[in-house]
Amino acid sequence: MTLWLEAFNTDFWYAIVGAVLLVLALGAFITSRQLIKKLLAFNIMGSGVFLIMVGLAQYQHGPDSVPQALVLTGIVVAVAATALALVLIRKFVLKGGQP
Amino acid sequence: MMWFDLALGLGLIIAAIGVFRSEDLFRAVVLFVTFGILLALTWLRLQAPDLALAEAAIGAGITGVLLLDTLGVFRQHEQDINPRSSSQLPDISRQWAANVLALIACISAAGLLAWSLFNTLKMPAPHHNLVTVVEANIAYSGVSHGITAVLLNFRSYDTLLEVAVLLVAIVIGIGLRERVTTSANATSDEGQSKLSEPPALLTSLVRLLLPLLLITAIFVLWAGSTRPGGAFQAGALIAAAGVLARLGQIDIAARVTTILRLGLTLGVFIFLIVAVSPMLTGKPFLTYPAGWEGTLILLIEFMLTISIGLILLSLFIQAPRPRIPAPVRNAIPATGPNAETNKGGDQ
Amino acid sequence: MTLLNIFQTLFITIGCLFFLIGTIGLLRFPDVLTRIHALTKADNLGLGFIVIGLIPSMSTAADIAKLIVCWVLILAASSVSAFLVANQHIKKSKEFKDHDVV
Repeated sequence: MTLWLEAFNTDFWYAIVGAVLLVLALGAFITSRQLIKKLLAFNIMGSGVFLIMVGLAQYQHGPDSVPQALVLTGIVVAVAATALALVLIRKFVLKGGQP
Repeated sequence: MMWFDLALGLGLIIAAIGVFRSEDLFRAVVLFVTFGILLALTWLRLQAPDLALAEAAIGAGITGVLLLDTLGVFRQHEQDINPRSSSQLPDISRQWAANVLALIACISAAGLLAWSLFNTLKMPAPHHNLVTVVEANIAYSGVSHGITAVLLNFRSYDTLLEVAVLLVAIVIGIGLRERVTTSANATSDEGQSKLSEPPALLTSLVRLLLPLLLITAIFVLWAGSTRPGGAFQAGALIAAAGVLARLGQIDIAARVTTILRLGLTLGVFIFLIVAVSPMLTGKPFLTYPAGWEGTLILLIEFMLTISIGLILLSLFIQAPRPRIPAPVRNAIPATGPNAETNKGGDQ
Repeated sequence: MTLLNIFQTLFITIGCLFFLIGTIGLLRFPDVLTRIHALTKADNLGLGFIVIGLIPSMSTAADIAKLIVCWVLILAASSVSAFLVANQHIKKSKEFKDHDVV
């Protein structure tokens, strides 16, 4: 326990928040029935991963540009994936599926 | 300041729970946009201004627009077709199985994450870390901002592949659109007539904001070599400008023309040329000639900005839309063959 | 704590108060138009006070100009979006009434 308290700083806190978001979003992704909500949960899952990556890499020696650059590309790929998923969902709904 | 971080972290979690729990999709999307804005603040607290810029423009801005537009399409579609018995009862046993599965997955993921966080804490600080490596080599990279150096010099291979991923996404997006268009004819024309005339106030605001957004995009791109900023953030800004223009009924990228195709591929094309050309003189893939790093990085970033902006914009504009409902233009039958011939030159 | 600090603290606190009041209004007011009223008040006045409070801590004229440009842009954007929402709301309620009569 003392180990946790010693290491506890801003970066580590956000890594924990990221882990919580990841777990919650995973559950929501499996249980939700609407496709759009699955997509939102998937996005939040990604954000959780990004927070863990940056937070854990930085909690010992301050801002680190390597994980930040990785996450920057990650954010852009995530929006492209979301847009593509939305194209597919739209097509599915326009063909008569349930959103 | 710790209290602020605690509140912000809890705010993120609460916003996420709000997204998961709300039955209404519109509400979920609005909460998701809120989540994106809180996340942008979080990146600032993590001393990552580049990520904050990208998250504010992309996570909260463009993703939000895409989602809201999709909800609008669904609503229109529902009105067009019929209020079908949408209250389809879910299969109870399947839902129950999904809940159990979710519970197991959550518990195992939580355990795994807690275990790995705990073990990370027990690990001694690494002897040499990436921060010092980047600092030691940044003088040779051609730029003085760490993240740009990593993205376009030290790990440029990743960035090249990432832009290729974006290109694949838009190729699929356009491919799906064309199949839809040929059967449901002319998305661009329909998009035009679907929206009613926008209020004059909106168009004048768009006229004011468009040049400002483009200037800001170029500034962010230029700043990228010395300060937070760069091709991705600038590309996002260009996409946002395009979306705004679309709202003001100025149609950019509404049709898939040769120029648009060129713009979409420009980034990857130039990047590949710069990457391959040193191989002609026997050097490895993706090495910049000494002395030219800064210039080449700026060239690649400029092209990438155009491509990323156009790709994100096209993914929004080319997304499938419902056919126009019959009463709005009763002159032409919606599936008439003549409707297809009058826009044959498009593709 | 210099006089300038007191001035800054005062203005930023007033700005935050406006945001708080605006948020309460957004949550508690009964319909779209009053909610827009609460929201735009928070944007305009709250942000204005915060910007005024922040100006003394800027070092260059360019930074001050940037702050003011931010404020002006947000004013323009928030007023136009408020107008659009209100416009749509009026259109919708009109349609609803027409439908009712028929």
